Amino acid sequence: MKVLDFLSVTRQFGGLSAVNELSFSVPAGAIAGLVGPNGAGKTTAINLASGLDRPTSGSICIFGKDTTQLKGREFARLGVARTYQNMKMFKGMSTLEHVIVGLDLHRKTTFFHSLVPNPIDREERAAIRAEAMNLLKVMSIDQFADFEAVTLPYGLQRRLEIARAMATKPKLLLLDEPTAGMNQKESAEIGEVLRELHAKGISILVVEHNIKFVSDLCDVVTVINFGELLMTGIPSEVFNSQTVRDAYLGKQRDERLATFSNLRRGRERSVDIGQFST
Amino acid sequence: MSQFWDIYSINFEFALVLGIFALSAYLGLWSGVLSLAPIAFGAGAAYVSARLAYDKAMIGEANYPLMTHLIVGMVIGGLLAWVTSFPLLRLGSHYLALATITLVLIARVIALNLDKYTGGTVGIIVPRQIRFWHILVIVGLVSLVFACLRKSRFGFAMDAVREQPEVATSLGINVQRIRRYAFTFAGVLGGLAGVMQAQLVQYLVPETMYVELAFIAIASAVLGGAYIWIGPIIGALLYTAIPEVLEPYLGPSKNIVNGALLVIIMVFRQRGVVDPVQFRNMMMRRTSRRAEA
Repeated sequence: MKVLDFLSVTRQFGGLSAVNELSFSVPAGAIAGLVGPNGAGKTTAINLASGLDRPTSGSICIFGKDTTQLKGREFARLGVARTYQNMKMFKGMSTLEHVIVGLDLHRKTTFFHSLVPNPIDREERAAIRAEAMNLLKVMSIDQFADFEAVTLPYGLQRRLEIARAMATKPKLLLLDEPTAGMNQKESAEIGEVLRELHAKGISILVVEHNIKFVSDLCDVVTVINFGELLMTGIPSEVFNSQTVRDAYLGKQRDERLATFSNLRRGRERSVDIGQFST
Repeated sequence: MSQFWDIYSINFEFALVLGIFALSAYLGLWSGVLSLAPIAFGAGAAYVSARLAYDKAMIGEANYPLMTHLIVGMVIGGLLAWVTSFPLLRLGSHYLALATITLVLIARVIALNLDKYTGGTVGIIVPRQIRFWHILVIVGLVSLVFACLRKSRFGFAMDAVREQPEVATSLGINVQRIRRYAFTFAGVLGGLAGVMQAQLVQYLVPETMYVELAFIAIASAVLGGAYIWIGPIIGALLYTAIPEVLEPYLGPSKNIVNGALLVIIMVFRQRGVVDPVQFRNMMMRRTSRRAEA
C-alpha cells in the first residue's frame, strides 16, 4: 500500500522541466525523505503532491486515489497536509488562532451561525479552542498561545506550522524543509516531534537539505536531480552511493549545464558540500 | 449642547450611514478583495426603496414601515451582489477592483436611462425620513453582527484568506466561497446603507451614490483600520468630523488641510487608527512585564 504515488509526473515551466518523468512513492506508515541539490525540483514535487500545483503530464495517486480531477482544497479532506519552506504565517493572528484556522475543516457550523450569537456556535468555539490548545501542547508551544505568530522565534514558528498542518488531521504530512535555519539541537527536537507523529500512524514525506537529519529520521530516501529520479532506497545505501555524491558535488551539473545553459542563465545552483556529511 | 446637536446632528447621521458603507468595504478587504461594488448595489436598493415610497405618496396612502424598506434594500443589495459575484470573483485582485469601479459607473448609466422609474437626471423625491435613533439602532445591530463575526469560524477563515489564500486552500478552506459570502454580505450592507442614505438626503439623483462615495467608504475603512469592525465606523466619523472642525478656521481651504491630515494619519498609522494587533501585542508586553516584576 502506497500513500503517495508519483506516476511519471512532469511539470514544465515554459521550456524548463522542474519535474521530469518522475516516479516515486511513499509507502504507508513510513517516514520518507526527498532530497536533492538546490533546484532539483523538490519543492515543485511537494507542491504537486499537495494540490498547490498541477502536473503537466502524468498522475499522482494519494491513498490509491487519482488526484487529477481534485480541486486544491479537496486534498486536505483527502488527508494531506503540508508545511512551507518560507512558513507563510497569517500576519496579525495569534498562535492559537493559526491552529483554529487549521481546524476549520472539522467544524460543522455554517456561515449563518457566525453572524449572531447562538449556543451551537458558542459550544463549537469552546470545543475547537480546547482542541487547538491541545495541539499546541503536543508541539509544546502552548505557552505562546496568545502571541502574534509572526513575532515568535523561527524554531517555534516551524513548530506552529506543523501544528497548523496537523489540525486538519492528515494521514499524510508533507514537510518542506522543516529544519531550515535551525541548529543541530533544534533539528533533533523536530525529528523527535516527527517521530511522535509517526508513531500515531501518520505517514510523512520530508523534503530536506540536512542529510544527517534525513538519514537519522527516514525509513526510505528518494534522491532527485534536475527533476529526475536519481535513486531510491534506505538512507545508508543511498548516501553512500557514488551517483548521489556526484549529484551533490555537482559532477552531473557541469555536463547538464551545457544543455541547460540558455534556460538557466543567471540562476546559480549552489552546492551544499558543507551539509554533505558522511 | 442642544445648540451643538441642532447644528451637527445631520453630520452624525451621515457619518453613521457612511460607517455602514465603510463596513461593507471592510468586509471586502477582510476577505482580501478591494471592492467598491456595495455602493452600486446600494444605489439599486435606494432607487427601489425610493420608488416604493414615492408611489405610495403619489396615491396618497400611508408609507410602508421603515422595516419593510430596510429589508427590501438588503434583499436587493444581497441578490445583486450574489449574481455579480460569479463573474467578478473570477478576476484577480487588481482587475476585480477595477471591475467593481466599473459597476458603480454602470449603475449611474442605468439610473440615467431608466428615467421612467428613476427620474433620470432630475432625480426622484424620497418622501420618507429616517430618524437618528433608527440609524443608531441599525448601526448598533450591525456592529453586534460584526463583533460576533470577528472570532467566528467565518471570521477566521476570512483572516486566513486575506493573509495567505494558498495556505487557506491547502487547509481545506474554499477560498472562492468565503469571498462570495463576504461579497454578498457586503452587498446586503450596501443595500441597507443605500436605503438609509436615500432617506437621509430625501432626494435621489444618479450622483448620490457614485464613485466619490465609494472612494470615501474605502478611505474610511482604511483610515479607521481595516482589521476590526470598529475601525471603519471610527474612520467614517473622523472622515466626516475633520472637515467640519476645520471649516470655521479655514473656510474653503479646509480641503487642502483635510487631505494633508489624512495623509499624515496614514503615514504614522499604516494599519489605520484602530489596530487590534498592536493593541494585543501591547497587552502581551504589559502582562509579561508584570510577570517579571
